[in-house]
Amino acid sequence: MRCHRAGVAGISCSTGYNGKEHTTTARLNLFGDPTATAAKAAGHFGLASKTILAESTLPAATQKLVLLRASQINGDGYATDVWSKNATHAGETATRVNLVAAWRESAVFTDAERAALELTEQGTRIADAAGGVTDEAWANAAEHYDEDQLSDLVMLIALINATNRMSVVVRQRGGDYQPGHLG
Amino acid sequence: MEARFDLMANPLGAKIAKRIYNVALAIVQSPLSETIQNLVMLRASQINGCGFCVDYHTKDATAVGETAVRLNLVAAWRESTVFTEAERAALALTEEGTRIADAHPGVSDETWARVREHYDDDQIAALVSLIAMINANNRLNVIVRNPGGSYEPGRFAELAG
Repeated sequence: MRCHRAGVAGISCSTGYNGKEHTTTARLNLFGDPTATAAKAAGHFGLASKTILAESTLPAATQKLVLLRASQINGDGYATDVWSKNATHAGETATRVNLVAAWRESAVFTDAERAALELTEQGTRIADAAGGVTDEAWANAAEHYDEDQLSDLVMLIALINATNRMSVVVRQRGGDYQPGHLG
Repeated sequence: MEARFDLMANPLGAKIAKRIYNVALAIVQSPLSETIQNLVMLRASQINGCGFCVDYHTKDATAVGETAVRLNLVAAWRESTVFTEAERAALALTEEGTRIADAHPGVSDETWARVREHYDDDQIAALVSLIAMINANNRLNVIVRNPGGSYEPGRFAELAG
C-alpha cells in the first residue's frame, strides 16, 4: 500500500525497504481513510504548503534547502528522503545536498541561502526557552528577501516543522520515496 | 570562504596532521568495515557542523559505492529504513559518543549492549577510536573555519608513512 499527498506534508503508507536493511512500518496510518477528520485536515495542510511551493517568489532551490535542513534537525527520515531526492531531481548537486547539514562551515551556499538556513535553524530550535530567532538572523534574512518572501519563508519553516512531527510521532520512516510525488 | 589558519602551512601543524593521519590509517586498516567507518565519520561531522569533514566523507563514501539515498539519510538514520541493525548500533554509539558535552549522560548501557551484539572486540576498539578521532578532526577544522565544498577524493594519501 502506498499513498502520497502533495505539498510539504510528507504523507505515505509504504511498507518499508526490501533486502537486508532495517524494515519497519509506521505505527499509525494517519491518512488511510480519506473520509476521516485527519485526512481532511491533511488536505488543507497539503494545500497550504503547495500554495507556497507553487506560488512563492522564494527560489525553489532555497525552499528545498530550508525543508531539508529542518527535517535533518528534527530527525525526520521520511521528509529528509523526500527533500534530498526532490532537490537532486531538480538539479541540485550532491555536494550541496550533502553539505546542508554543515552549511555554516561550507563554501557552496550563497549569502541569501545562508540567511534562509540560519532562520530555519533558529526557527526550528525554539523548544524549552531556547531563545527564539535573534534580531541579527532576522535582519540578515530581511536583507536578502522582500516581505512576501520572508512571509513565505516563515510559513515554510512552520509547515515543515509540523510535518516533521507528524512523521516522527507515527514513525513514518524514510528510504523509498520516489522523486516527483511531493512538491 | 577561506580558512582562518592553514594548519598544514605551519611545520608543527603539518607534523601533528601527519601523526593524526597515521592514527586514522590504523583504524582504516582495522576489521571495522569501510561502510561503517564512513557512516560514523559522516554522522559525527554533521552533528559538529564540520563542513570540510562532511564534504570529505560524503565524497569518499560515494567514491567507494555508497548510495546517495543512504548518505542523505544519515542525518535522520533513526527514522529511516535503509540501514542495517549493525549500522544503527554504530550510529547510535556515534551520536551518544559525540554529544557528551556539559553533563550529558554519555553512552547508555542499552546502546553499548547493542554495539556488543554486532561487533567483536577488534571492531569495537576501532569504532571507539574512530569516534574519538573524528570528533578531534571536526574540532580542528571548525576552529580554523576550514570550509567544505572543494574536497577531491584521495587528497590526503601523501600524508601516509
